[in-house]
Amino acid sequence: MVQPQTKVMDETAPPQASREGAVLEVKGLRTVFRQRGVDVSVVNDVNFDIRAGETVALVGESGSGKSVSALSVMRLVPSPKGRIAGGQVLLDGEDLLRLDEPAMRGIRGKTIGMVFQEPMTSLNPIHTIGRQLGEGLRIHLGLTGKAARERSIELLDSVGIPRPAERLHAYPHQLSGGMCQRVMIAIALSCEPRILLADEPTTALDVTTQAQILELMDARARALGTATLLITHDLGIVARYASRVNVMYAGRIVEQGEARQLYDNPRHPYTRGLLESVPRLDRPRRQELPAIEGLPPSPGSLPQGCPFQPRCPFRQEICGQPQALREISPGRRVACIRADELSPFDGAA
Amino acid sequence: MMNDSNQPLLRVVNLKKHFPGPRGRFGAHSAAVKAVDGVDLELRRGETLALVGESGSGKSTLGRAILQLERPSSGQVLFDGVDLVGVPDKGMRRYRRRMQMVFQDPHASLNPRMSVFDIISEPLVIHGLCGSRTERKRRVAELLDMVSLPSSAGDRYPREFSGGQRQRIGIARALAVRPEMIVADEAVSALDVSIQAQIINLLNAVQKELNLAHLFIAHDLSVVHHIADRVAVMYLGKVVEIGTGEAIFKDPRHPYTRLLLQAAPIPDPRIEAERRAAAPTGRGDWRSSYTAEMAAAPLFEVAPGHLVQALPEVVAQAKPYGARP
Repeated sequence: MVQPQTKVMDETAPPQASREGAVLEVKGLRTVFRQRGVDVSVVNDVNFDIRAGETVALVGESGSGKSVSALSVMRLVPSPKGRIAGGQVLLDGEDLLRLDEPAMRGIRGKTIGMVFQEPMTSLNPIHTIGRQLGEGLRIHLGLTGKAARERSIELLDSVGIPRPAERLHAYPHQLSGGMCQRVMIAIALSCEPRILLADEPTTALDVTTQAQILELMDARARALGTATLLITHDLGIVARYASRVNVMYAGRIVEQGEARQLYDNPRHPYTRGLLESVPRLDRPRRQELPAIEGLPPSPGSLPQGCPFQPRCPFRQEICGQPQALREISPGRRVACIRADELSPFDGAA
Repeated sequence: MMNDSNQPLLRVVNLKKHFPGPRGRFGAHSAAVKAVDGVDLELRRGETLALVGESGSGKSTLGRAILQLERPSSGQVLFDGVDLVGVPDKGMRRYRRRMQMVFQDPHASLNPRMSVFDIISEPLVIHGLCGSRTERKRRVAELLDMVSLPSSAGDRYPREFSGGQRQRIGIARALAVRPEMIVADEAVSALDVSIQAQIINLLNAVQKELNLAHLFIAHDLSVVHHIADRVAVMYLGKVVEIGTGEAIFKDPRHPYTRLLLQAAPIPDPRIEAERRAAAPTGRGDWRSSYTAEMAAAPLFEVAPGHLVQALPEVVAQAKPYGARP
C-alpha cells in the first residue's frame, strides 16, 4: 500500500513560487525502483507544468516512465519497491510530496481525478455504478441520499450515457468498454478536479469509440477548467488534443514544447525518428518506413550519456556525455547537443 | 507451384459463421450471433488484403474461419481451387502447411518453456519437413537471418526477447514451412511505434521475397494504409466496402468507412485542428440509423473493383456503373 512520504531527499531545490497560471508543476521529479538491491531511476529529473483548462501530453513508448510519472504525481508509486527519491509536485504552489497520507487521500479523487487504460479493471466489479459514483461525492463533497443520486444522474448524463437513472443500478460487466470508460470519466470529474490524469484512456477501445471518448473528455475538462495530463503512445491523439507536448525516453523528457512547433520541427533525433516512423493516412505510402534501429534501453542498464545515443543516426563522440534539457527558444527544450545542427524536418521524406 | 497467376489463391464465397446466442434463464439459446454473415473475398499471390473494422465486426472470426480454425457454418473457402470447408480435420494438415498465422501477442503465442530453435523448428517436425537435425539447424539459421535475429537466438527463450523480437520469432515460425498465405491478426498493434515500423517493414519484405498472399487483420487504418493493396471494411459480420487502398482511403463511399477514417487521428496538430473544426463533435449517430434492411443490402460496384453496400445514399451518389449480379 501507499506509504506516507513526508521526507523529500532532494533538499537542494528551495520551494519557489508557482509559474504563472500553472495548476500543476512538476520539478526535478525522480522516482526509483529497487532492482536486485540497487535503486534504478525510472523517472529522472522530469519537469513539466500544466495550466488551467489546458491539455499537456506526456508521450513515450512502454517503459519510458510516463505512467510512473503520473503515479508519482498521485503518490501512488507501488511501495516498498518504488519510491519518489526527489523533486517537487506543486499543486497550486503546494508541494504534494510534503503532505502526509491522510491529506493526500483528500486530494486524490477530489482535486486530482484519474482515468486509466482499462476501465473494466479500474471499476470495482462487485459494486454498482451508482455506488462507485456516489462514493466520491459522499467522501469529498458530503453529498448523500437524494442529492448524491441526482448529482450522479447529472454526471452520467454529462458523459453521454443514455438512461442514466437506470444505469446507476448497473454493474460494470453489464456495460461495454466504451460505456465503462464514460463512467470512469464521470467519476474522475465528479468533484470538478483541478487536475485530470488520463493514462492511455482509450488504448483498449475501438477507434470510433476512442474519438467519442476523447472529445467528451476534452469538452468536459475545458468546461470545468481542469488541467489535463494526457499520457499516451499515440502521436495522432497528441496532435489532436494537446497544446503542449513532453516526449519521454528512458525516464527522461528529451523534448518539450508547444505542439505545433514540436511536430513541425522536432529537434531531438528521437522525436524526429518517432514522427518519421508512423505511417500516415494523409501521405502517400512509402516503400519502407524509416524505422528507428534497435531497442529502447532498460532502466537498469542505461548507456553512458544520452540514453538515445546507441540508436541515434546523428550520434557523435560527445553524445557519451550527459545531455541536459536546455531551452532553445521560449518554452522549447531539447536534450540533444546536436539539436541546432539537424537539417530542417521533412515528415514526408 | 505451377499456378495460373490470374487465379486467386484464395476465394471465399458467401462464408458464414454463426455462434449460438447466449442461453436464457430456461436454457434456450437466444438468436444466433452472426459473427461472419455472408462474406465474399478474393486474395492473390503477392497481394495484401486488409480486413478492417471494430471489435465485434467479425474480422478475426473471418480469419479463423478461412484457416478452418473455426469451421464455417456455411459457404466456401476455396484455397488453390480446393474447398477447405469440405476437407475433414485429418485431411487439413497438408493445407495448414500452406497457410500460416501470425498473432497479435507474441508473448502469449510462444511457448515460454521452448527454446527459440524448438519453437521455429516445431512446424518443420509436425509437417515432416527437414528430416535431419542438421537440416533443421540450417533452415532455422536461414529463418533467423530472414527476420534479422542473430543465429545465437536459437538457444535462448522467448522471455529473453523484447516484444518486437518475439514478433520476429513468431514470423520466423510462420515462414518455416514455406507457406503461400499468411494471416496476420493484429500482428503489429501491440508494439511500440518505433518497433512497429521495423516489423511492418519486415512483413513487407518477406512478402515480396516469397510472393506471399497476405490477409492482414487490423484496426489501425494508418498501418493498413501503408501496407495493404486492397482493403475490406467489415461491419456487423459483413463486408460493407471493398476496394483498392486508393479507393477506400481517397474515395470512401460507405458511411461506416467514412466514420472510421474521420475517427483516425493524423499526427499533425495543424491538420487535426482543421479536421476538428470541420467535423462537429457528437457524431456516431449513424449506427442507430443502420437498419436490418440496410444491413441486408447487397454489394454494389461503384467503380471497377470498388464495391459498396447498396445503401440508398451510396446508390444515389454513385455514377451508374451497374449492380453486381
